Amino acid sequence: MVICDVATQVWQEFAPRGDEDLTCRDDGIIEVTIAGSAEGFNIEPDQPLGPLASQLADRIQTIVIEGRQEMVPGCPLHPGAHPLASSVVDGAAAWSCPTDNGLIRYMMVNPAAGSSFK
Amino acid sequence: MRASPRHILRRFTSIQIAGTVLLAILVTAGQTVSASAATAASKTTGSRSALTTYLNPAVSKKTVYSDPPFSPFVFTPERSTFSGTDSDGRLEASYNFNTSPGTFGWRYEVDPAICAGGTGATIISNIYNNGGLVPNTHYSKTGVTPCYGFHSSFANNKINTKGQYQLRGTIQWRDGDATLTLTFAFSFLIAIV
Repeated sequence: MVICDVATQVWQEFAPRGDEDLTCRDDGIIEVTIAGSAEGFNIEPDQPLGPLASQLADRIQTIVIEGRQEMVPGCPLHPGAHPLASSVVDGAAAWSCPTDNGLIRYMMVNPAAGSSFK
Repeated sequence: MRASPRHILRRFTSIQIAGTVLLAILVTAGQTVSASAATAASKTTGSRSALTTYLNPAVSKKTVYSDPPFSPFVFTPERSTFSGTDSDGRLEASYNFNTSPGTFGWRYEVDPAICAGGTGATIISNIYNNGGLVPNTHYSKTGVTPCYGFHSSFANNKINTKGQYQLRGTIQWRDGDATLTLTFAFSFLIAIV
């Protein structure tokens, strides 16, 4: 399942800890386990890699921030002020500063994972 | 003073919310209630509402899905949020018209008098359009207390002005030797007027 490959790569953006996990169910549900609680969701799989990865990052980020009670990933321009926001820059999934939408960095998603995407 | 859910036989009330939205509440605990009983209660009062909740330790999940149709809440750019409280809990929902596609978000909290002391809560929820599952609206959560604020938010182009939607959630948890199941259903439309 391609979306699972992308989700697994996006998951690494959050430097998962030993007791944290992301799993993909056969029915397309993605489950993130943090601090003993698991949350499941699904998203539209039939979309280009950039928006797909960005949307996955957004959903995962919400769960991670709540589970860890930390701003993840933190904004390097405004430490402690806010987390980065997932975005799409030039078609690629990226992290941006939410105050000015400025690009901080692209997500580390292997383009090969999107070779079967539109 | 609120009675313990286990000691409530059956209660049916209607509440006027914000002058426009009716909440129909059927709380049943300590005995099994059938879908037909719930339907009969609704018909008896003639109440039609956007939000319904059912609490019963023994009721089947099928019960909520055989609800009669309820008058939906209509999200508009001028009225983009919903908040409803009944004796079972509180639902807040919103639709953000400023994103493309629009973003639907909701949050449900079980009434503290019901969930206090409970453990091992699980929720499964989805959105339906005329009874059919709307893709990519799933939300589930496990390993939290039943007093947790269950919530989800997503942009989904399948939720638009063309459907008649219902958010359905089933929360299950342990309370002593009992297993409680609370189901809620929220009917809504999206309109641009």
